[in-house]
Parts: sequence; C-alpha cells; structure tokens
Amino acid sequence: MRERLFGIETEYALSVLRSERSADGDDDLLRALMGRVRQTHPHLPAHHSGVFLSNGARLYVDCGGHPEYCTPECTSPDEVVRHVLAGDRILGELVGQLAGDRRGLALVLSKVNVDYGALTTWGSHESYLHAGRPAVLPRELVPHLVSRLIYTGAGGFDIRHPGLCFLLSPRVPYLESTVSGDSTRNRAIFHAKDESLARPTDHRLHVICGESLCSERASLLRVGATALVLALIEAGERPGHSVALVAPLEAMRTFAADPELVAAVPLAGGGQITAEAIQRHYLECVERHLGAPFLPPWAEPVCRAWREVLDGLRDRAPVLDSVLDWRIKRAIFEQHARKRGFPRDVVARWNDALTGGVERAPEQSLLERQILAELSGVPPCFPRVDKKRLKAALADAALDRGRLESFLRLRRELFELDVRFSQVGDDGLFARLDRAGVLHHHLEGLGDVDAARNTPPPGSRASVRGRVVRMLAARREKAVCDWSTVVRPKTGQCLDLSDPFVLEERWSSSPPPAPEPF
Amino acid sequence: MSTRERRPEPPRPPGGTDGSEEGGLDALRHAGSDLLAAADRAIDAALSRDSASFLRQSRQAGGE
Repeated sequence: MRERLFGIETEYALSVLRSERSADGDDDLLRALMGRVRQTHPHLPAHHSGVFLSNGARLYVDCGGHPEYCTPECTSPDEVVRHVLAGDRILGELVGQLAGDRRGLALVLSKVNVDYGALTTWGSHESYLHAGRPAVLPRELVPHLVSRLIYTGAGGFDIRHPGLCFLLSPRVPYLESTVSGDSTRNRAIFHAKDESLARPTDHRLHVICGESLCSERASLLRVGATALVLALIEAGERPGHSVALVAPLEAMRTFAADPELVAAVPLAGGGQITAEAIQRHYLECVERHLGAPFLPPWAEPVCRAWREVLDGLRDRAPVLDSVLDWRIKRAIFEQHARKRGFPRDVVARWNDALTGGVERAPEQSLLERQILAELSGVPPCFPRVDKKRLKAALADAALDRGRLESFLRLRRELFELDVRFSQVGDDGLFARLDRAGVLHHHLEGLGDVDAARNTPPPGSRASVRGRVVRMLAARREKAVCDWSTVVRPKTGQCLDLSDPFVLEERWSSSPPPAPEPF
Repeated sequence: MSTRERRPEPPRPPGGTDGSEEGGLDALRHAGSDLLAAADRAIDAALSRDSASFLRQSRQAGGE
C-alpha cells in the first residue's frame, strides 16, 4: 500500500493583556519566545528563520507576529494530530514560562484564526505530498474542500455581520476566489502554490482554507478524508466530476452559514446538492476502493469515522455537540446568549434590525475595508450606525432600544469566548470542558503526545532530521537545517533529505542545493 | 497562560485509526451529556470582566 505524507502548520494568536504598562513590546516578547525555545530545546537554526526541533518540526515567528509550529512529516492522520497537540504543548509551556518571567503581563495563546476587531486572519495550513497531476486537482478537489467544513469548521462568527451570525467556518468570509496562488490576499478555496520541498517529481498540495481545530476526531477527519480524496485523484479517479459546482465560492459561503445543514447549491451538471451529500459522494468513492493498493493502511478506519460523522450530522445526533468544534461552540454560545436573555429567535430579530440599521458598504472588498480601517484607525468590525435608520428598524422589530447595549455586550462576550475556546493550556474553554469529561472528541490509540515533543515520526525523513538535530545540537555544532537538507559548514557536508521517505543519513561533500523558497 | 502542572489526561474513548471495530461515535450515539451545565461553569471561569478591553488588547495582525 502506498504511504501518504502530510503535515499541518499552526499559526497561533499570542495576545498580551497588560494589567500595568510593561516595558516589553510585542516584538520583544516574540524575540524572548524564540530565545526561550533555543535555551530549552535541542534545535538547529532553520535556513530562513526560526528553528528545527528534535522531533523534526519547525518553529518560527511568521508574518504578523504569529508564532507558527509546523509539524514534522507524518504518515497517518492520528500521527499528525499527535504532533499538532505536541506543538500546542511546546508553545503553551514556552508562553507559560514567559508569563512567569514578566509580572504584570497575562499572555493568551490561542488557536483561533480570526480577529473580529481587526478583520484579520491567519492560517492553519495543510500539506499533502502527492504524485498526481496538479492541473486536475482544483476540479476534483474543490467540491470536497467546499463541503468538508460540515466537520472541519472551527465555528465562529461572520465578521461582515453587524449582529451575531454564526458560521461553521469563520475563515470563509476571507476567501475571495476559487483558485489562487496567494495566501495573504485574494485567498482562495484551492491554493495553487506547488512547492514540493522534496524531489522534482513530488508535488505538495497546500490547503489554506481550513482552520485550527481542538477536536481530535475532527482533526483526524480533516487530514484523513482529504488525503484519501487526494489518493483517489492521484490514482486517476475523478471523484469531483459529478459534484462539480456552478459557483464554488458562493456554495462555500452558503454552507458555512447553514448550521442546520439543509442548504443546497447548484451543480454544474444540473440539480442541487447539500454539503452532506457531496461529502457522502466522496466517501462512497473512497469506500469503493478500500483494499486497493493506492490507498493507505489507515483508509478503512478513517472511512468508518467519516461515515459515523456524516450519519450523525444527517440524523442530527446530539452527541456531535460534544465532538465537532463548530457544534460544541454553537451549543454553548447559544446557551450563553439565552442566559443573557437572547434566545435564538431574539438574536435573529436583533440581527435583522441591525442589518437594516447600519450603514453598509457592500461594494467594498474586505481588503478595501481593511486598508480604510488601517488608515482611519477605526476598527472595521464596528460599522457606522445610522441612528435614525436603526431606531426605525428596532421599532419595526418591536425591540427595546434599551437592550441594544446588552446585545452588543453579548456580541463582545461571544467574540472573546471564541478566542478563549481554543486558548492553549488549562485555562482554555475547550480544555475546561474536556477536563469536565463532557466531550467525546478523543481518539483511541493517539499515542504519547508528550513523547512527540521530542520524538519524530518514524516513517518519514523527519526521523532522520530529528536524529541529526539532536546529535548536532548536543555537540553544539553550527549547522543549518531546512525541510530537505542539513548543511554542516564545519565539515562541508550536506545531508540530502529530498526523498520524503528516506530513513538513513546520506551525507555528501557536494555543495548544498539552492535554498528552498518559503 | 497557566503555569500550573498539567493535569492527567481524561480517559480516551475508542474510535481512532488503530483498526479497532468497537466503539467510535456509534457507541456514543445516545450518550447523555452534561455539556451545557459544564459550559456554564467553564464560561464563567474563562470570560474576562471586560470583553471590550480583552478584544482591544488581543488585536492581531494578519498572517499566513
């Protein structure tokens, strides 16, 4: 059976809550964070920035000041989930130590991917090694990426909405096209970048439309289902053909705003289809090939987990409220709103009134609004209110103007709770629920997460990289690491890791290849 | 961030990719959940007193 290879990049949000004025700026803290990594973890400097660790992972500070942890190359979905969690623990401990060093600062490290105040977003990208034809990928894969959010969505709110519009996937409003090679502007459902970071014959599918998740089951399906669909395509199957969509971006927006999962979108071949039906189609395509040599050994249990979740969504199984990130959030956010006096139907009335009462600029793109906000210093999530129109809209909806501030306070609380949900460490909302034993997201056989902080996956080049990092760091030998090479200036040797499945050290004295773009 | 020692991990129900047939979500289909009661307590503990201030101080630049 053919092995698959994949990994996840997690960009974290590091927030500094100052109870008193600190001399440290955010840049100082990020420098201190990386300094702490170098003090406490065996590492080699990465060629571009940051470090590679002894588990084969890379840790660095990405653009926008986001600490980013890239898992080592993993060969099964549960392995990548284990290494994502290991990254959480590494970063969580480092940030905890920094906070301990700096009295008066409270640091919040979160895996949330959107900022409701600044209208900004940052990524949790997936990488999949494959040998398929990149040209066929968008057509075959886009319907899967559009519809998988029914189990991969992190849950959150629509930044464009003046009220409280829950979305399965809050990153969707930031997507502006179906296919694009950009990742900071004009983000697309399908990211066309194809840097293999390996041999010229290898390709790397880079998925940027997803979000960081807390649920182990959802994380497993995010990677597992996508890798299986990719395996089908690589084998020459055309699973996307019969579910091609007329307007993928609009379809994704429709599905994201439909927590009842009843919305259907037009198919290119005629008719309409729901997100669940698209996913069931892809699942059945994979199931028809179970046992085929091009599928990995873990295909069957992933298909079983995939089917269970789709059946649960179809049957509106309450247990999913304790499994999937967006279902957990929706359940507890709605309860919090009820507790504050805003049950679902009342929130809907406030949403209608606020939509009619604020000055909207639909002709402006998100980017234009961000630029305007940057220039003016006005947070773009707080739309300008036309008081007369709002007063009339509230009167039409028979809503008490005196409750407006209560509704807006609820809105701010829920935005905070979204950040708190995926806060790394014991104080996070998800972590608190998990500790209370009310969630059913764990995976049996996930393995030792603590060990994964120092131990690379055994079945990929990450095992060699991790071993070499440990060896050279112990000798304090200066060397530079990259995904596909390690260079030792002292000896003039270069370790070739361009074969993603290489398990032996192959040092040579030849000059290192040109640096990889990143 | 908390600097407390990590608590023991909760027991893991079945359902991974180790090939086991038993368990999985089907086994939990009708499991009761105290999610909402626990959520009340968790939210009370997690939410700051001033969400506006929290959101202002936790502003993030875009990334990727």
